[in-house]
Amino acid sequence: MEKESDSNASGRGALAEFKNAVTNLYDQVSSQVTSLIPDLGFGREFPRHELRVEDDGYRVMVELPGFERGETDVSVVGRNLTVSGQRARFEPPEGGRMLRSERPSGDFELNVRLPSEVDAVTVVAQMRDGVLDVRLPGSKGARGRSIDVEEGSETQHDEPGAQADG
Amino acid sequence: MDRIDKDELREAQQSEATREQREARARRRRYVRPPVDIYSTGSEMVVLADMPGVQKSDLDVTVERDELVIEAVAAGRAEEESTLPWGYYRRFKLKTAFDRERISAALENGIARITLPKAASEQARKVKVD
Repeated sequence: MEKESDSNASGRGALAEFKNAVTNLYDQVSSQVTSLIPDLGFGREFPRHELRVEDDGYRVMVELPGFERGETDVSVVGRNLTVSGQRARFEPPEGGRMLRSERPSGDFELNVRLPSEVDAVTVVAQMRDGVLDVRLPGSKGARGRSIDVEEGSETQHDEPGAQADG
Repeated sequence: MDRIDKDELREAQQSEATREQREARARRRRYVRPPVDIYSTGSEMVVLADMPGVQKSDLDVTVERDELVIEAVAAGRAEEESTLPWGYYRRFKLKTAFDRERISAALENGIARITLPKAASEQARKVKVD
């Protein structure tokens, strides 16, 4: 049983690598014409993410439903942002019977190639509503760093009428 | 005179309504079907749906006849023209009877949890054999 899960894990790793290669390619294209490209339907891609080019740098949103702050590793080296973690397979309570099991689980590693280098020291990451929001101000100094994920208390959606969770 | 005004008003209202419908349809095209885990116990069925980016107040769960509908907008994405899903939508046909009054929904860290208590008639019972 253990052996099987090991080989599964390495198979997943290779698949993840391939997926990342594809999504990175997608990133490079989509960063030019973000608003023109609809969902290309990568379907089971996990985690789904978006790279935005903003006035003061880059912003990467990564969908990580169920994750709390501190449950993912975020690091930036030069032009590469890496987000990795693990999502446990959902187990029903005792006496429960699974009728459907679609939500992805297992190890994941997302690599996003940024259009240019950023200063890792100024990178800020927040987790809110199952979305990791990484802000990477553009800079020429490229130092590698591991990023602490902050609590999502700051309001990002500050358009009128937006309500805070409660 | 009066009548023309009314007609004009009606026309304006109609085009406003169709514009809103069109926009709503366009928004929904950017929705995705959230993946779910569903489990059942003797007394209830629970649906867990991955809906990252959804705030509590935006989760909409309805049960009508034998259909469960889950719909939610992901905050801010339509406005920002995001390439991520603008929302989530999924329908399920319910095969067993549930106690509608006690169906509940919660949302935590982008995961919706919908609990459907089974109707008394559907609950698993242990039959005592004499």
